[in-house]
Amino acid sequence: MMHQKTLYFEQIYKNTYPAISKYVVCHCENIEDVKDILQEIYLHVYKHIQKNNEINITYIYGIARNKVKDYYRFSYKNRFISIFSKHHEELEMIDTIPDDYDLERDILLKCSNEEIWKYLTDKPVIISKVIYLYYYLDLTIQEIADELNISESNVKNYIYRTLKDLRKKLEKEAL
Amino acid sequence: MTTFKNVFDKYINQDEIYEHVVNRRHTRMLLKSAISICMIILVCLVGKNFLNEKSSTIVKDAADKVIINSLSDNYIIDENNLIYIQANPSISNQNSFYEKHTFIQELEKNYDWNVYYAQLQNEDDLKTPMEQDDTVLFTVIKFVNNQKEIEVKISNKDISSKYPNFESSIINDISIIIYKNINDFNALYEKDGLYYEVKSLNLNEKEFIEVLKVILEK
Repeated sequence: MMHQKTLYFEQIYKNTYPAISKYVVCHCENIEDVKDILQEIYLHVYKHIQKNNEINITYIYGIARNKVKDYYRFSYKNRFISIFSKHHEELEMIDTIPDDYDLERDILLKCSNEEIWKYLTDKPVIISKVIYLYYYLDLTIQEIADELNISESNVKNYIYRTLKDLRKKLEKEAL
Repeated sequence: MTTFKNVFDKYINQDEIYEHVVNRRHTRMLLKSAISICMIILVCLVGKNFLNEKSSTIVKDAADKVIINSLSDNYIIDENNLIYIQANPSISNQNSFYEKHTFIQELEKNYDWNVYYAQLQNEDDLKTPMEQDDTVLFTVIKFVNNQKEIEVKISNKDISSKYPNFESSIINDISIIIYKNINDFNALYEKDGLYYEVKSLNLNEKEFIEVLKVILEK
């Protein structure tokens, strides 16, 4: 019985993870919190399944909403986010960048996972959100714009500037 | 090859989260239970402190209505463990003396304690300077600490005032005698080898006992 429930949880987990992780990423205040929040959500889901045998996606969304709220309820968990972001000051409308462009490959070949992660977590949270949704969840520019309630141009700009910034950083390091 | 996907896979790993949830759930539950228990204990302690605080407030309000006299300045213990306490001959303190005396009478009457009176007229008997006045009254009290007995000697045999009952009680492991004046409660106790009397002014018995508890905690 216990094993069956675990299998059921596994199935639910696999089916709902993309949607729930998308929800958490879109609503988090720091990309580093995503893992903790997801763990909290699925721990609750697991407990619910142990007790009630079944669960539906609406209920999981409800849990996710509450867990995100709970996580940021206490101020000590809030990280400092710089309000002096160059990216917001110099937003350029880069409508010319196609949705399927791939600057990523050239740049990331030379970087380690740690470097990229550190770079992303040092940047305003919107950058890491866009990058996660675009490169990890494979959302389109338009979908990201809708989820984050920003314009498509901004989404493109964030992606473009992030890659450009990374390239600059690599060039500097190479010198 | 490093890609954003790999980066996120490393730091927000789906399988890792799954493992964490399924395998570590029990540890987390235990931890949560422990935290819950700690919280309950904390709430109880805070509650207790709150009640104590409330009680302290009553006591603080009442504290102005209490006079604590250390008798150590006014008594001498002789080789037989007799304690000589000097009573001031002024009218107000005579009342105080009468209270003590009546209290001693009550002791004698109700508890059949070994109480007797003696008139001490010789200054040398007290070994302390005293006012040379015929009306000076002396109370001699013997505390036998181990057996919690009190032996009393009083200088004046002619005390006829009637006072309400007294009671012997133990507060914070200290044996204490509480007795009532016409309106107020007084107490007499020994602590750390010193003898004290506590006189209340306009306190009811409950308030007075609360005050005594605080005093005896110090």
